[in-house]
Amino acid sequence: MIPVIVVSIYLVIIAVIGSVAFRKTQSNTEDFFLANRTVGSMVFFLSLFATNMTAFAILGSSGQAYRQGIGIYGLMASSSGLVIPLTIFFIGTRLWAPDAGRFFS
Amino acid sequence: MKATKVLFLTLLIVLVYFLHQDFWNWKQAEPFVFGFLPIGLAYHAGYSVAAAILMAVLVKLAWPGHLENTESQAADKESKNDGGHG
Repeated sequence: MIPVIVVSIYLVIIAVIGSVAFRKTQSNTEDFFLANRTVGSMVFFLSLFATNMTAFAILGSSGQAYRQGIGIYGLMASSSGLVIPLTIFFIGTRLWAPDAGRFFS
Repeated sequence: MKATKVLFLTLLIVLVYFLHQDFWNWKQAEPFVFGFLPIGLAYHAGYSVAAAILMAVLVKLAWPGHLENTESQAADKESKNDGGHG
């Protein structure tokens, strides 16, 4: 029963935050996808980290860690800590360039 | 960018990537760092720091500034085209 209560409270809080945010936003694509370009470095980093942790959880990292131990951190998190920044550095920067077509056409 | 610089940075990336495969820690939990942290986890905590340092080095030494120059050139070109249609 307690887990149901905790999850329900969490969902209500999320819904309230979403409702308040909806009233304060501009309802266009730039606002939805890019937060009106107001996302700073720390928020961007935390968002990227949370996205990756969610992906790992869906892939079963929690269960694997339970089965094999904390070494799963090395398998997933620390390799991503190198590969994702390298991907952003080498590919993301070229996608960001206005003439990205000349790199990827 | 100079060829030696490119070679150095490439080898550095390859080295850091292969350091991730700490096979010498895969079959043991001890010694415990600070009394509780398995050696494998402590190694990867340090590895995460090393990866951050590598990225800082790459940003400092190999940032693709020519892409930012491309952006300002594209903006200039766009403003010239708008002037032509006036």
